[in-house]
Amino acid sequence: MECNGCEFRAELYYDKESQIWARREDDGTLTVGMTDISQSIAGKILHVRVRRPGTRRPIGKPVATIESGKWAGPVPNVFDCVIELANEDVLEDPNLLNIEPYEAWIARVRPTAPMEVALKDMVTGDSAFELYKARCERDDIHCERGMR
Amino acid sequence: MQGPGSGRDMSDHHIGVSWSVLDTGLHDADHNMALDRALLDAVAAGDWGPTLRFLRFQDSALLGHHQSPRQELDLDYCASEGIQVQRRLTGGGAIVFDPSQIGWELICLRCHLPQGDMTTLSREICEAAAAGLRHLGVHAVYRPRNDIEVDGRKISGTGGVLEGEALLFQGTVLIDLDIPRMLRILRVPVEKLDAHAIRSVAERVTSLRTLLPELPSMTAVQEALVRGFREHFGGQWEWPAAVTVPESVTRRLPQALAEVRDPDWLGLQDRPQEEQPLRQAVLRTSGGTLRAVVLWDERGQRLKQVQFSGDIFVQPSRALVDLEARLRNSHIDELDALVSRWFTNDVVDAFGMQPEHFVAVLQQAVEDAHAPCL
Repeated sequence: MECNGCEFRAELYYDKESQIWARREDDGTLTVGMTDISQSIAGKILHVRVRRPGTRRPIGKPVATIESGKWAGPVPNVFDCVIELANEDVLEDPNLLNIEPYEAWIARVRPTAPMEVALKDMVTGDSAFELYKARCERDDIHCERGMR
Repeated sequence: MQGPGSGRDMSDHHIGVSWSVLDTGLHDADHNMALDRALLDAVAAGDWGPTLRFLRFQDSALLGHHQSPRQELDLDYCASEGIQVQRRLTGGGAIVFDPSQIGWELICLRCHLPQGDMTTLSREICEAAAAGLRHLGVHAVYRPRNDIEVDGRKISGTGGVLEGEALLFQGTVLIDLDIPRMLRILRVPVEKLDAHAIRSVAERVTSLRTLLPELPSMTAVQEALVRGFREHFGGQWEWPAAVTVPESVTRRLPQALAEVRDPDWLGLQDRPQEEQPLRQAVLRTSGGTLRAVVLWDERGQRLKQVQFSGDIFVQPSRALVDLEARLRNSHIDELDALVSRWFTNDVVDAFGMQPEHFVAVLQQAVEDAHAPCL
């Protein structure tokens, strides 16, 4: 599924502004990454920094920061969690976030609350796609992947 | 990190915005960084409005948000000279500040500026600042990515931070330039710290002192910048600057100071210098001798910075500096494409030197091997 060339994966969970995605893992963790919309807006990503594993990050406190074109900024965080793992491949080559935004995850985190509570502010499936599409159209976002 | 649409939205929501202009004066780097944090938080919380801040620093070396101190600076030299090292909230490269330089920054919400993606936003702000500097009589223009230059030489470096809807974008104005000191503090791609290195930097960076017959006062520089922002963005820009920092900012200052003084802040990114070595190579061709010095990011396989020299002749005269700018932070895999695009798009005549020669010397430098004669 896509809108204006921005790829969307229905099985993932998204924040309501379609900035980040999260995938439920069998071990009770969430894998977190940036959406195609976010990587396109950011442009070529040169730096990613993930907080140390074991660090607790409440809602609103970022799990990671990125930098593109001299702009630094947090990757938004919508659930209270503890960081378990950073994706070493992305830390070494942050540009992967531009090339394959749904494969290049940023961090694996463990929500402090039960999964349903952690995901209560996220959306998935058709309702997530409606919001995703609305964001693309409202802000006239066109996605491009694969930049080096 | 988030942002608005990919193209510029021509809506004029930002027109009619009332900007406060603050001149916070001369402070050490800790205090200035803490003020950045406090101002950004106050604006994000809706406790303070859009602001243009002017600031000056005691001797300081400021790292970009994601940079490692050991990789970018000569920390021993900084310590021995009493040069304070701090980390910025904003992205970009390390810079040196002394009390003669002026910093400027916009702290506001995204809706206070024209809409667009991050590149558009940088361009809009830099074009406004460049327009301001032109009021001083220098031909300042925006050069992607995020620098303001005069005839191919950088006069203002910039960087930004975007947190939700709030942003802070900052730049410098090089009033005067102490190149030898800069070369001692920053790790830049030069072969050695000699007269040639100084000349080489002087070909790439400039200052108001170099460009103008008479140095303008700090107030005149500030006034010119305010004019530039006002003309470019419209709205009201309070001038002369208000001198007092608002209470909504001062009450946040102690916590912000504690944050930036915490060793974790400076140590937020700490990687060994060996992962970012200086490498060089020389290539002899029928078109002349081409030398490249590269600050090489071993881990990310990127050319952080490149500097060319040698007895080569390239037209237009600024083409080499433009190539260096294009290659900044480029991945080794994109080298061929970037050099070819530069050669074709900029209609470069290198008098016998071909794009593959530039690629070859860089590859040799990266591999730290001797370049063959081509």
